[in-house]
Amino acid sequence: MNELKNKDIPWVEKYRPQSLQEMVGFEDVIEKLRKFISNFLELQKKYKKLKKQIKSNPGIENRKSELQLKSIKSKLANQTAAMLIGPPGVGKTTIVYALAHDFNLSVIELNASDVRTEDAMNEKLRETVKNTNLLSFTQKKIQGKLILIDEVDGIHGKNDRGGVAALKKIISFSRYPVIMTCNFKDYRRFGDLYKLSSPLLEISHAKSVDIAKILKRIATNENLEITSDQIKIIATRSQGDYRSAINDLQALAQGSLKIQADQLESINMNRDHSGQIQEKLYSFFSQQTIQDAKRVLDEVESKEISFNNIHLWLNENLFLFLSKKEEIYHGYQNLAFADKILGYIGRTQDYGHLSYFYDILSGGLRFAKQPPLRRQSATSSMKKIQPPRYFRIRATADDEIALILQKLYRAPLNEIMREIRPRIPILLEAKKDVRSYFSQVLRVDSKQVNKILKN
Amino acid sequence: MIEPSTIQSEKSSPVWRIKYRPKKIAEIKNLFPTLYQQIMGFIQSQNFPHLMLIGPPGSGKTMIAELIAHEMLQNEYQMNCKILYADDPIGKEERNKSKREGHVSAKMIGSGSGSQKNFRPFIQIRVRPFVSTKKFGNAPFKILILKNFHSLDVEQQAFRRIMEQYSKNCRMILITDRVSGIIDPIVSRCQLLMIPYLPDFKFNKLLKTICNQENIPVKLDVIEYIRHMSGKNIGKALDLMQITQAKYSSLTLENLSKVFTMITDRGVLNLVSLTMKGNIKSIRLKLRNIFRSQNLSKNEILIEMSKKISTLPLEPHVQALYLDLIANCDFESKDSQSDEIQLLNLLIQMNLIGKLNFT
Repeated sequence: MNELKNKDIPWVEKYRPQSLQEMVGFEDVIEKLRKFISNFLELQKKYKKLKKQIKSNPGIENRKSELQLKSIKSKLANQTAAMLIGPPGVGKTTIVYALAHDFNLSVIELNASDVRTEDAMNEKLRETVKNTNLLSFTQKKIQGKLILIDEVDGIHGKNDRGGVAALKKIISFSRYPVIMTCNFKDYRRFGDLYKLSSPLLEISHAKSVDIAKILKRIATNENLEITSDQIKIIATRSQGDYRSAINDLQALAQGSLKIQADQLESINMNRDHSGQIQEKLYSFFSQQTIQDAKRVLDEVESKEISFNNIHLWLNENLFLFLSKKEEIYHGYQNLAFADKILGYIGRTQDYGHLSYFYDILSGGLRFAKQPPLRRQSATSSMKKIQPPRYFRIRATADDEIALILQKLYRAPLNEIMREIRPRIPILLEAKKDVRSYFSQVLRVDSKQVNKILKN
Repeated sequence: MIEPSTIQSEKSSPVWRIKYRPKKIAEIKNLFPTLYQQIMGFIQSQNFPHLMLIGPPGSGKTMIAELIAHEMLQNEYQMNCKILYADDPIGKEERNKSKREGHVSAKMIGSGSGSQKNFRPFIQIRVRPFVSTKKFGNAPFKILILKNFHSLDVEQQAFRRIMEQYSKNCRMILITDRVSGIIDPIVSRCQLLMIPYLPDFKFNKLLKTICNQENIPVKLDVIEYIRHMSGKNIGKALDLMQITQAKYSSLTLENLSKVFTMITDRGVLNLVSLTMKGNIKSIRLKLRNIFRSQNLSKNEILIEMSKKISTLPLEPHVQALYLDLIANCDFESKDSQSDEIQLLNLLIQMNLIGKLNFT
């Protein structure tokens, strides 16, 4: 643990609970999982013992024990897998690692970042599932293995073809307990997996009291001066997400050991999923490396802002940050290129190119600004950031006036909106019968015709 | 209350473009003599194959298609004929509806149960319900008139099937000004009718008779001028005439050119000259004004810009540079998402060049 006391290590890793005793909250889930593992290990022990007996003295007396063996085998088959369902950041993975630590098991993890096609999974797991651990000779402590399949719902339907079927096979072959985690229930895709996993455990959002407990523990460890009220604010703002709460605390403590009130305000804004774009865009232009800029851009994403419109936000507000001709030129070159990539993605649904979009948007735009913006702590000196505005008047399918005009003029809606509709008012001024005609056709009072046509 | 699509309301309309649209097939006998013979053949046999009317914009394709439908269906026209515009936007509700219809219930038996079919909303919501229902009354069949057919890109393939499937119940009249945009199998399923621009003397005569009916004195050179400015587009020529008449109450060359510049000025020339010297914020403001008031798309702005640049007093090599930039922008931003970003990118480049050259 001493080497982990390094300052650079994220606190999320530093204070990740090593054993189940360190865990806070989720007592019932942990209890069930512990039962599941101990049950499994016990059954396996019995199974091995019986098998040895049968091997050592074959004979007629062993009929009974053979039957016993079969029943144990079927029991085992029903209890190899468990499924943990819960939102991100509540500690699903942490629970599994802590569990493995307490039972002296080594964890084999299949992550979302790995390719999980049938072949790839077989290659990685099949052999380990069947055979005993080589490491078990060197490390006396470790008794067996535990297979963790993280983020099952990340198995891609198209790219990870046969992934679910392979998982089912692995579960049926496995001599070790399998624990799967996923973020939300999806019966259509993973219904079979749910059937196979005997404890199907759902974890809800963490209680803010539990989060506050952990934050307090970390704060005392790090010698932070923080009041319990401040901790409470961080805990509630994190919306039941341990990881983000700890990240917030670390971000707060980065400057000094004492936490100021306005600092807390600004940091908490980050997790507040509605506002805070202001802060983020300013910090985006003050980052030193492309990675940092990319990270900040990632964090901006919320309900309002997604990859679909982030470039529009940047377009709307770019002149706040870029002022020199060359800066603007380079900025727009990159913005336009990113926009082209997004258009391409939209047309082909080839989302593999989305990473280029972010690279160009973050790297290109950030380094169009030279030198970087100085970090500003006071929010009042910043200019207000505007949401993107849409100016096009497009013809829409439910514009009744345009539809009536279309019946009269026999022209497509676009032409109506562009050429015909704006010219009618000129006619209206000149002649009375035109006005009465349009008021009849459009079914409005003759005084309102002008107003209605103007949209 | 006037139903907009009935003939009576059109006859009494004060808008010339609507008022002087031919209402009977005999009215086009002199304008399109050979076509008239062909159409009369259709009408006498009470039958025709799928038709495709090809011709430049404003030459009267839709008018002829409607006349054919009117003559074929007579009194049942209202029930049995529909005009669709292929390039009209599809509403959110229609999209959702087609999505709902594409869902196959999981309770159904068969391999497709529980799956989602990807219906094309235009075909599924606008075309199929009309085409697949039975004709009303004594009409020989239904008639579907589809304007700007070339703008149905991918859906043309789906349309091909529909043309075969329902050809007994419904005949199609496809209208297009760009045959090259239509896939071969559809062209081969149709009888092609070419509708060219009216010959100059017929166009002049048409305008002259309309002016006589409205009691407006005109000279031949004025009519020639209108024909030239409207690009032989009858609808546009009538609009130009009527607006000028309404505004200045006389048709002279001067008034016509004033109105023409008023109608067609989109502010693009202003924008281009602004890029030569103005600062970028004002350029963006101007661009947004054009977007808002003129309802131009990116492509149209680019085309207008390239037209305007050749009229500006610039050195040839600067002009060539600008044209190159515009062409490059148009080509590269073929499938971009935001028009404003792409155009601003171009304008900023032009602005930099302008500053180098003029200050």
